[in-house]
Amino acid sequence: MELLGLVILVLVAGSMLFLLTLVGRRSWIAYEARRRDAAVAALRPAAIELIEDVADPPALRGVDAEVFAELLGGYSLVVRGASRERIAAYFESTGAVDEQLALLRSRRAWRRATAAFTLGDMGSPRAVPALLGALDDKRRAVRAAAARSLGRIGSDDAIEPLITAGVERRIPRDVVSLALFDIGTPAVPRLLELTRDDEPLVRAASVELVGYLGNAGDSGPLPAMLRDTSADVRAAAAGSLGRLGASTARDALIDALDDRVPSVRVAASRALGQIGGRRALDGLLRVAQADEHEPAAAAARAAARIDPALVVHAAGRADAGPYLREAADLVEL
Amino acid sequence: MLRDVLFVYTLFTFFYFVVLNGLYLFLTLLAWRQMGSDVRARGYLGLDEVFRSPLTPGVSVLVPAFNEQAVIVESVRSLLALRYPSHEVVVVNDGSDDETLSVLREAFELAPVRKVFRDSIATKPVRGTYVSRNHPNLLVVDKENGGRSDALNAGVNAARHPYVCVIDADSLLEEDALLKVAKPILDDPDLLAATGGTIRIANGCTIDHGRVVEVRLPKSRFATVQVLEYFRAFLVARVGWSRLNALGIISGAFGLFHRSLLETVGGYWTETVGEDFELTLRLHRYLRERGEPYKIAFISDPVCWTEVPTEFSTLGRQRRRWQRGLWEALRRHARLIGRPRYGVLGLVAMPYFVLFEFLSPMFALLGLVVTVLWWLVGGLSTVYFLAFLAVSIGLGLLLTTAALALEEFSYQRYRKRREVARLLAYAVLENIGFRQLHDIWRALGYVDIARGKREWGAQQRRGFATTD
Amino acid sequence: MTDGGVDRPQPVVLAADDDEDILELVAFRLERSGYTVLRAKDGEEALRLALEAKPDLAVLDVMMPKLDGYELTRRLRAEDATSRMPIILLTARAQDADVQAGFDAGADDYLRKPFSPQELRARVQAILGRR
Repeated sequence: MELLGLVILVLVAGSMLFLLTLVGRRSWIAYEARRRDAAVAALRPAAIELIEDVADPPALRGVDAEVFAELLGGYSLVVRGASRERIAAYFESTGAVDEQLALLRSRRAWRRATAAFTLGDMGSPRAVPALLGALDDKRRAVRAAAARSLGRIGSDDAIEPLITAGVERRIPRDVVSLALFDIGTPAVPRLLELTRDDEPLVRAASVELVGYLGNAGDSGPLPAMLRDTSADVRAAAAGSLGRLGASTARDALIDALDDRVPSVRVAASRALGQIGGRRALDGLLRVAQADEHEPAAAAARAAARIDPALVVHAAGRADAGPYLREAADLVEL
Repeated sequence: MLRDVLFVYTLFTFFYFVVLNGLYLFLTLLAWRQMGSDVRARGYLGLDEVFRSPLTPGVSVLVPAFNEQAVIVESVRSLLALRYPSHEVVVVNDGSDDETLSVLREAFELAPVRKVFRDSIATKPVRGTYVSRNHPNLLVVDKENGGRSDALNAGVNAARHPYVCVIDADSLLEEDALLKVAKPILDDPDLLAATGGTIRIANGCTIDHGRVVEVRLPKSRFATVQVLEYFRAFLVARVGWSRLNALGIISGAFGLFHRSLLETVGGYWTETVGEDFELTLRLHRYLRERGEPYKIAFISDPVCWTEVPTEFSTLGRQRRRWQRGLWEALRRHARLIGRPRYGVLGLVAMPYFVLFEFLSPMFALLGLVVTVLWWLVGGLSTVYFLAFLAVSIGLGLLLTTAALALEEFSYQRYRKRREVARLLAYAVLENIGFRQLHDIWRALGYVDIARGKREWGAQQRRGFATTD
Repeated sequence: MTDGGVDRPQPVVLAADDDEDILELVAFRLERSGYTVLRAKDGEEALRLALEAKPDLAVLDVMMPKLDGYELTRRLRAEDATSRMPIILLTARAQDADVQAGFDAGADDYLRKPFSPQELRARVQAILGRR
């Protein structure tokens, strides 16, 4: 017992000492922070001048170079276009891109992931081949970081590998979707092809993205998908038709209001609310009065989008049902 | 004969403490490993991407409110300002008999709307629903009093989005907290069932317009001791248990769930004061029995700031209530205890909750009394007695220091070094008085349980200290 | 700026963003184009400056402490002095619902981040050129 007591006391003393060293570390952290803040204030104008193509970047070393790089990395997240290209050119010229490319081959996974992520901030297209390779890294975090960066850089070559990785669940789907979203319209043709894939999940994910990235002209194949065997696909197709504003699909969407799966009826209602048209109103009012909770609520809201006055009037009738009354109240707000 | 019994009991108490603290040390080691990788992961977290994506699913933030007129407006403002692409705030006024509804009505220009609820979970009747004219994503549900669980269930019925985040009315979420607590679920929605974030103590902090602008230790002694408790509970214990996928509790003050999952398991149980603990156990049970892989995780980065009781009587009531909640949930899910079917939760966490959380006041107090008596009658040598004290206090101190070191290493929220010194001092002093007081409160909890006590008791609400 | 030999005062633009990096970039861009820029770090400061100086245009972030961009826009619209002041919201909140909320609050234009500084200048010029 006495020995144990002694051991414990020693451990306690040791841990307190450890704690005190960590606290001591704070002075160093605070000092570093003050230096960095001063450097940020001093270098920000130079960073802005680089972005605005007014002046060449200064030659920097050490902490100043790091701070400048961080500033530009931060700016690369909020600016687009020529400004962003100038930032990428700077990182190339200082060898920062090469540095990160080397770190991408590190043995420690977190270093690879951080490097993959940073390459996206830097924005240099030269990093694309290495990042494409990193999509097959054995660690998920690295793959996800690489996917995100490929989206940020905007590489068309990444479209196919990203979609495959997303389908095979090797990269989280939300990360893949945003990367494709960042890449934008160049991804649409391939996505349209994939709407005919054998896997329902692939068809659903692709058609959903087409809704965000495409325009009304891309909606050709979509109405047929409203009769797909998978409910997820039908709902996603309806959602995208609404987003694309494809008024030619109106009749097909009105038919979809009778789908046997509620989520499809919800999506069709929403889409009709976005597309509009008097013909849609009859179907929507019917769903709002007779259907179950989610479709009825969606249909009532959609009807209110198309013709608020009509919904307010219809809500006054005795057989209106609670969903129309809710939508009417929201209109009057 | 009596001497032998007492001696054995003293020894037993000693081993009890060694096992308990050994388990905690193990959790501390796990927590250190996790924190190390969490700190490194900050370089590639990708929160910005979640915020920018139009495909990010929405979250309904549920705020049950009973007599919260002092804090509700500020709290709701801070929730509306959260950085998340699409979220709504659903305040459920649980039949308050103060001005909670009126202050909300005035501050947010509420207008009545005949909202239709899903009838997934049965609740006390709803008296009215209101939408804000200026903030279309604020919904206020006014209902008859039914308790916190009932209010949350009504919130689930009213929620628009596929995920719900449960918050206390007197809490302030940091701007990125919702993004951070949601990201793991969004990355892997089929695996992650629920996530919880860290609760930190707002007493003493400077709060401006619903944001914590300066982190300071509370003036109150009771509140400062709780800072240490919360470090141990959140930064060590929950991180550790979460790593073992045996997280027994997602705090009701900051938890994120799939709405459909809550509906499937029937929402919160209204017959308990430990509704967050009971729900988490029920989720584990349902998911285990369903047979597919799942995770319920604790994320240490996202922070929810909350006010803790500073008065003796309020704090005492809270601890007694927690003890009752523990009992109610453990009794309902007793079949999990020791069963391998429920993984590490069943084999390790559940027995831990029974032996080391629920029964610990009994062992601690009895053990202390017996040991002191024994020493007084000369059965124990003074050296032995001192060593015993050194071990029991020392182990506790070791754990607290480790928790403080973890905080220092990863977050350093308390800017002033003298505050760390104060915390260290409290780590020592805690063992002389507060620990015993806490055990007495929890022992009184046994009395409440035996008496069949049910209600919550009055809360203490002073409002956030604002600089205007 | 000169016009037939008579010096007109430079148009005054109010820029508000709690992120100093962005604030300075916006200010630099606009100053370079010949505007005088007032800087505000949060919604309340922006409101105060707007009511005091009555700028010709405001470029506002949405997610700011103390008073967010939407609420600020509503308040500016409610005051006679600023009710017709053109307001551009420049923000990372980019969902359709956010854009709608911006216009509902009374903004004249909505620019999403990531943004092009050139485009911001073009929109400012377009609005002020009409006056």
